[in-house]
Amino acid sequence: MIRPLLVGMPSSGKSTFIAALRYCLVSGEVETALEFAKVSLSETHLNKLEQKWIACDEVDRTGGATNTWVTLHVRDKVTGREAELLLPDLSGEAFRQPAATGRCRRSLYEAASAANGIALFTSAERGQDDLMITDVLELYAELGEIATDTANEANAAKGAVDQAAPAEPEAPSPTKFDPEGMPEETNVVEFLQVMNRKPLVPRQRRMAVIVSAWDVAEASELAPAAWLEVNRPMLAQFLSGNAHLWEVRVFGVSAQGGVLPRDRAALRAMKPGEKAKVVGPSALPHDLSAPIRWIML
Amino acid sequence: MAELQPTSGICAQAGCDAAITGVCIDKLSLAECPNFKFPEASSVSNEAPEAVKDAPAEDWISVGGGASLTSAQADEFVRGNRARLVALIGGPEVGKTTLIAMLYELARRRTLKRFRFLGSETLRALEERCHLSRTASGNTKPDTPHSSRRTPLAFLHLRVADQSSGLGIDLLMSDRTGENFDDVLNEPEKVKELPELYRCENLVLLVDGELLADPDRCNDHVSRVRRLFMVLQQYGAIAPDKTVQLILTKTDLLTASAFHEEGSRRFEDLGRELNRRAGSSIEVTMLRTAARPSQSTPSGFGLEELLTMWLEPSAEARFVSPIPILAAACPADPLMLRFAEKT
Repeated sequence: MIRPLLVGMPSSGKSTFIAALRYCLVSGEVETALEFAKVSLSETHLNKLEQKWIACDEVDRTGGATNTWVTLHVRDKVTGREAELLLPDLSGEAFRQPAATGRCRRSLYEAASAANGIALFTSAERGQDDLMITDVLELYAELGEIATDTANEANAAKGAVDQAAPAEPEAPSPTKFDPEGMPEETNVVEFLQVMNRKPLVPRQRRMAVIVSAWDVAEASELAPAAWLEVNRPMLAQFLSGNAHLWEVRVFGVSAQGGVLPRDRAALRAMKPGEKAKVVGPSALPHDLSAPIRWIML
Repeated sequence: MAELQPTSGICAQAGCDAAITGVCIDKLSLAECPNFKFPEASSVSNEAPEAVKDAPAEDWISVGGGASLTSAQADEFVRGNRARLVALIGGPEVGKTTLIAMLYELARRRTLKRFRFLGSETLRALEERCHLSRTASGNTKPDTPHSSRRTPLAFLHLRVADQSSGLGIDLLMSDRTGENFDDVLNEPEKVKELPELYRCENLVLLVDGELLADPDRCNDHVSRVRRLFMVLQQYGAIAPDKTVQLILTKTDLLTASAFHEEGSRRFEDLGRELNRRAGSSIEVTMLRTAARPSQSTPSGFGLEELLTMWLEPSAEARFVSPIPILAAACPADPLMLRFAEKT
């Protein structure tokens, strides 16, 4: 039995994906490489997620469902091979812990070490969370909106400062470093390092990188793999440089099919299965199971 | 794999490894230290359900990684991996930590032309050193955490690949508080207490461009760097199997100053002088760097060149046969001759 693990930070699209995937596999509205194999012991959370997805409501981090596992049983229509998809933590908070604290929940660690392959989620909607101050200063300088330090000193030396002008407000104190606030890429890379760190024996696994909310990225006209290189440079370098550990394919997925709430009316008018979009190697346009099938091969 | 102990947690104080050692850098108990958080307090969100709040401590596994390495851990790492050890040397505020942080930033953002980021065993420690230079800190000007005399020696790890060969290389960089080097100037024998200076392949002596730019402080700074070099040399830290670099930090500040020409000349003169002192078997390579971008220098100016120097194959150590070749004939001679031929 193959057990692909679905991993990713909070709001990376895992919940939406698995809800949409189950619907597509069960409904048969669109052609998929995989089919639904059997129900799980508990379908509660998946049912709630699917309900929201069908209604085109935001399938956001499920409040109160932290540390809840979701499983989905699937079968390859061609090979007959079965797999049990594992989504260890609906909220994604557990994936922060290895990088933030050097600790991992035992259940997640054991699932990660046993996983034959993983689907790693990252959302195209996530803005840059590691912006350097100097990047912003350069931008401001180009726009001419702030004076440089040299210009300020020159003005002060000339006595051009208006003594009657109100004093500039004191700059606020910087925030203390919070390990749980580290950038997404750092958290993801550390989690992947944990999967091959002693005492585990490093081994090669397949990874489907799923860029969720792909409709947001479409304007870039980049293929998913190229998008990853540009927008997730740390992760992309890590994966390509550790090819002996990670065999990677990158997919762009829009499980919602559009931007909510803007496109809600149009999406509700469609067959639910047809609103999902997939871009990637050997993937049919609405086949959300394509990344999973590749992991299973 | 070590199981989580009830007292383990995480400390927000820069340079404190209480989570690993259980020893607070401020000599407080973990319970009373305001910077130390126990796992139940640090990992539970406001919306966590009862199942998480009641999760017993034994549900967690220590997975290692993240924190900076201690000396012992660095030793173990070097034994298990072919790592290059870099010792950064310089007084307070010269830019040791900023240099390390900026190298990491350049690597993770794919800004290096020749090298590619492959990973790090000290990601959390590196991120901590970058925090004050990012917009997430709320700062309006980039900054770097400042260490104190109490901050213990730390090693930061970076694994990079040379794009041309594809080979991965591990780099360990020491981050020691500048006050320790002030202490060495006052009591030179203390240099023997700085193990990284003797274990490293790359000795990097930093010169502060901001101080060279100030005519009132330039001479004293040059004198201190010179004396530090002399101490290193006298106590055997400078050896033929090492590479030695004299690095000017904050080149942008020197370039922008009215004292620019004189300050630059002082740096060049110092480099020539240290090369004379080093002798013919050791070359002191000079390089100008600037971690922060300015009108005169791009972000990370000179750092890729520095990294290239560190990762070049080091000078081959002279091999001395451990077994003397016997002069008189004996039954072991054929074996010894074969050994001698091979060496």
